[in-house]
Amino acid sequence: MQVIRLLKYWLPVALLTGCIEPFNPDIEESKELLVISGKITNLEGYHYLEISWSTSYDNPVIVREKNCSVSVYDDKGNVFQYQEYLPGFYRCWFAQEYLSVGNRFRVEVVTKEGKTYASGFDEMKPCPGIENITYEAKTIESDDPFMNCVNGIQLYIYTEASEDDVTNLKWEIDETWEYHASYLISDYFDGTINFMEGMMSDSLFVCFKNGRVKDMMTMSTRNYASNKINKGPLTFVADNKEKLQIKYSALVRQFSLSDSAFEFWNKMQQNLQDAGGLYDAQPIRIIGNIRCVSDPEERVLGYFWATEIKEKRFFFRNTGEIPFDFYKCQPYDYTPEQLEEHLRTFTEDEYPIYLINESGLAEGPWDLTDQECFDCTKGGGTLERPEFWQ
Amino acid sequence: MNKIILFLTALFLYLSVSANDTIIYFNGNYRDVSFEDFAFGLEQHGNVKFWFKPLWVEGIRVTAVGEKISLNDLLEQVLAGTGLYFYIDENNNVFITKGIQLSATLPEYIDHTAGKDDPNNGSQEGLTNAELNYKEGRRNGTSETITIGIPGAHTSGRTAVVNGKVTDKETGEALIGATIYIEELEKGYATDLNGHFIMSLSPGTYNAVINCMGMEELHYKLDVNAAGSFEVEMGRKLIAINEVTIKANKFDNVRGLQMGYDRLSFKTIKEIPAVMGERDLLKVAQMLPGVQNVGEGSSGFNIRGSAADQNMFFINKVPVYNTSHLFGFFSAFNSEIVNDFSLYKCNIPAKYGGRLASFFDITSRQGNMKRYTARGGLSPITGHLAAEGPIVKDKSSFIISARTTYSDWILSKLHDADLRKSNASFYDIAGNISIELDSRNFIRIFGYYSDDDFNLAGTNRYGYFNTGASVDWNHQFSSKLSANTTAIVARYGFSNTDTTIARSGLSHNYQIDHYELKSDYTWVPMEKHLFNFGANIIRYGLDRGSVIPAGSESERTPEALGAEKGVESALYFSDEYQLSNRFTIYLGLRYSMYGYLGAADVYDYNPGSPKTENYVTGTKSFSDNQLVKFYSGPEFRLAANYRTGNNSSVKLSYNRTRQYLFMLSNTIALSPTDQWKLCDYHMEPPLADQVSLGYYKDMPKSGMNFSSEIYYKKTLNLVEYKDGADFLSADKIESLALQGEQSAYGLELMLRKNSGKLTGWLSYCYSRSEILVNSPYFWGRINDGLKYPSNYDKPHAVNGVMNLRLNRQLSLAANIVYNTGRPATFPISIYNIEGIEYMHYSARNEYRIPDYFRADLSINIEGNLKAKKFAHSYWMLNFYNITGRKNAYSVYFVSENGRINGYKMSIFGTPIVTLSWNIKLGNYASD
Repeated sequence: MQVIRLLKYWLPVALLTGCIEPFNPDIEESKELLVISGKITNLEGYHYLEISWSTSYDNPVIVREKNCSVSVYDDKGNVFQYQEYLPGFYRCWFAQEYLSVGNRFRVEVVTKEGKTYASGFDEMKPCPGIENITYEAKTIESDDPFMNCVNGIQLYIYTEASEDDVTNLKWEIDETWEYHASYLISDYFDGTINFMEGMMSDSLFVCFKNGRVKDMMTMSTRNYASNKINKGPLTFVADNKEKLQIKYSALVRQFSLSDSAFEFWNKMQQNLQDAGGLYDAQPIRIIGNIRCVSDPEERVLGYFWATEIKEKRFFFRNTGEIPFDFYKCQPYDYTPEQLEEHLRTFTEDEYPIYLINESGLAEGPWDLTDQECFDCTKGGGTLERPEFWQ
Repeated sequence: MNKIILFLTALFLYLSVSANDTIIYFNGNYRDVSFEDFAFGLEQHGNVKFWFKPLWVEGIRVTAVGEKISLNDLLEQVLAGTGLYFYIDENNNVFITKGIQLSATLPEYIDHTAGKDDPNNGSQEGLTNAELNYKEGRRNGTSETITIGIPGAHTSGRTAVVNGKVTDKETGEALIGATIYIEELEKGYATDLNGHFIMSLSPGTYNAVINCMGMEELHYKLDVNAAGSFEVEMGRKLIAINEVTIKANKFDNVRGLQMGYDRLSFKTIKEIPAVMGERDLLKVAQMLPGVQNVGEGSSGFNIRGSAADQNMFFINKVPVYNTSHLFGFFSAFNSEIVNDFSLYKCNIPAKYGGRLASFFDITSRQGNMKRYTARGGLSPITGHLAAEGPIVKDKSSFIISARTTYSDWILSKLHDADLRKSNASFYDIAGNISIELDSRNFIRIFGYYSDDDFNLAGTNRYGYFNTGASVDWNHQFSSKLSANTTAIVARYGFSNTDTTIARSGLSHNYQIDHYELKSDYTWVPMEKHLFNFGANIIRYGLDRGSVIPAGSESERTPEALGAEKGVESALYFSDEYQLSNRFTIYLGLRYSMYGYLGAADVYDYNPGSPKTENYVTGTKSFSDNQLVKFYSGPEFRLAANYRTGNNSSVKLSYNRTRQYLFMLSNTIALSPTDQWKLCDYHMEPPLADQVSLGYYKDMPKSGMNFSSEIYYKKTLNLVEYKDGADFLSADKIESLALQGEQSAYGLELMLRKNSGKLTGWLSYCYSRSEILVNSPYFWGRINDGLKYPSNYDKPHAVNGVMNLRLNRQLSLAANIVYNTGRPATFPISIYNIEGIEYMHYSARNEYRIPDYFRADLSINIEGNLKAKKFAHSYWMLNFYNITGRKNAYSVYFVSENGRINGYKMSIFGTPIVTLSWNIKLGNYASD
């Protein structure tokens, strides 16, 4: 999307105004295709496969395919039978002895209609270790090219040199962050205003949240000087309301990919990023490694792959050196009448309603602000400190 | 002073009663002396006095050796074909006149209204030529008589070849595309790039009407005795300056053989609304039917459903490999130096070759041969300047123009750090020298350079340049044969540095060199035949460059993409043959040849396998300049015109074209990093066949004409790219591209009004363009081997261009553009893997972005109309996209936090108002 960037820089000069609007195409066709996706890692434990149907663009819902028979074969002649543990989700326990780098796996799925779908073999390639994960504070343009810039940190990965000449890698990141409420709790309203005589509590002050980074991240050392990745850009963590407020952690899981699996995931990544613009490549139809045995013309989406996993945890503590514009709680600045009126709108099951008492005096005056500013759990987080939190 | 003398003399002569010219005899020994020397010599020794303007007789050489030479006969010989006449009075004064033949005879005027009582009625043989001329001269509109050839010098039974030149009276510039219409024959002739024309006429008298866009129509009586030549100077028609006339030749529409042909002159588009006030000939070309592009502000043209790399752009025969500035927002041709261009969409003359779809033949202006002048202008984006003038008056001239953008300066004033790190600049300069060595030799030297440089926030840099030069020599061997020989060099190159991702930072330089020699001949051996023949040879040198790491953190492996060499050559011959007054045919054959030269290493692949590294079975090595692969073939160019009435005709044409290089582009619009690539061992040259049928009608009373054409075009060996092809990662293109076929068909309707206060055109075009890449093997297919619309398949297009002249100082112009949205690939369904949404896309180009509509308006205000002023300026107030419609520039789908969102981006989403100012030396009418 380089040209769009150019336009953004150049067009203000040319006295132009462009704009971006949401666009919903009028898609007539809606062909449901079977999606089979799963992977075998080198770690002992359950390995999963999910089977679902693609749904219309206008109204995406997930339709799971139930009651399939799922078998995974390795190149040593072992067969692993999967069980459906949730609708459309299948799993099987693999003992460590079957999960060596270099093994090849393929899947066969028989649906309840009796149609058979099979993948080719995919080899478990060795995965180099993660040497380091670093970050740089950055300001980037938002996806909307005419919107303001976004501050945040860009994560980079340094891998160790791989055993193979070419390494293909894919990453997943689970993120966890600590965030704080703006006010300690003290005086509150539960029908009447309770004055706590200046006693403050931090019991609802520190919260934790976690999530999965939804970016597709793949990289290869093909066309690069070494088979070691230095400063490979992972995700950009945007400074939203709270993520980078106090402390942020990312668990980076690194997967090795065979050449064909890399080609698949890399194309998926391209399709999700820059596609459809005038100076971009055409978006493409991507078909994975799974075919319908009885009807080779039927399109099947998804990929079945084998991988070795390496992981490393990264911490970022905001010590204030990066000037982020956090969401700040502002008192409503109510008169006693406005406050009373507002308090009356709360129902009992919403109690207690925490109040600001800047004077610290028994007669107030009190003020109100968003309850999230007192109770961090109202922002969706948990008070439970994760084990790995340092 | 001369004029007064002439006038008085003429007056005197008319009053004189002498009926016979004086005949003078002299003895002399003049061997190849100039006319002036000859006249001086004769004045010294004989009892004669010459009256003439030295300028007129420049280049005339006289040889007269012997005794009792008739001066009258001698002058008749030496002045034949020069447009000069002489008259000798009884006092032995020899008057040389230009354009006007003096008659000393007062005819016995016969009152024709007397009708049948007149004994001479119906027979004018009793009158002398001079008397006839005098009489005819009084006819309305027939101003002067031009006598061509010496009476009696003609070999009976053959036609006389009459050639000449049409120039601008004010600037001395040759007028291109001026027409000479012979009323009696209902036949028109047009001048070529050098203002020359050739007619083949039987001896006799004819009424000729000479027309040229923006010029005052001239009427002449042609008195053709034998082969000869004459020159005509045309005066400017003030009122017509702002006419929107896209055809120079008003007879073309119906009578000419041209189909799918348009000619746009800069003068005529002066007031058409332009984006950001930048007047741009090529942008106006997009308003013509059958001319499209993939998006507003994108570079490249799609002519009749063909890819952008299938068009040839020449400026004074220099090929321009990238025709855009700033990614296509402006064309690379400065409007100050462009005179006009001709666009051939079908019925491509045999002299053009090397591209499949179209030829844009752009000619630059010639400098003013009479006086120095300059012009310039400012728009919100650019400033431009041009200067011109004679080097030797009436003999040679120069013009130089330059244009640059000053957006850099504005960027540097901005506070945003990223913006200050960015720059966007472009400029172009062009110059032309025209030298008229003598009446038979004309030389034009042209040079051109354009440059673009963008730097985005310090991480992305795009630069590209076009440069070229040509030396063009026009030589007239005889009245029947003329030649045009040109030597051309051109170079296009780009460089790109991308350090957005430090680890992948890369830079790449690319360059293509073009050296060409061509010679074109026009031969008119007899009436009804016009032969053209010639040959050209091109040597291509490509350096596809190396991809090298950029930035200290880059770990990219260097990849040499290799150098290439090729030679393309062609021979052609064509005959335009007038079978009857109503029926004209054109038979043309071009034979083109191409050799791909070493040094090269060529892979052999396992048959039935994809042409990728994994299936290489062997390597052939070729040494430097060794022939790797040879391709050749005939290209037929056939056309016929049948006139169904005085003002209507039906035309049919068929052509085949071949192309030996193509562009590597996997993006929807052309981008400045797209590389030209020669056809090679594996990539075969594309070829196209096109059939067109058209009906044309003139409506002289309303000043309108109508044309309709249908066409069908089939292209073979079209190069298409595999999904996800990355041209920087591999040097073997066959591993990234496939060859398929394309069919395009359409209907083009156009109604034009060329005269009156309101001028302009309205066109509708229905066109389709579909590509098929199929193979018995799955890897050889694109879109599963099914037909898909090309990126520029826009079925419906309506264009309107209107210009309303309220008075000489104020005019309004408007454009209306509508077309179907371009095809696009949209997600048709969504699926979910591990909590992330993915898109499953439709078949290629199955959907379309929203339709495009735009209306523009411009108001042009000229400065005062005083004739005597130092400089004249005019303002142009432009409203672009006056309805503010948010047309889709692109539509794209991105994953944001695991969710798919679609966006439509518009770049000109609001009306854009610009004011531009232009100035030129001289008055309103100055050129």
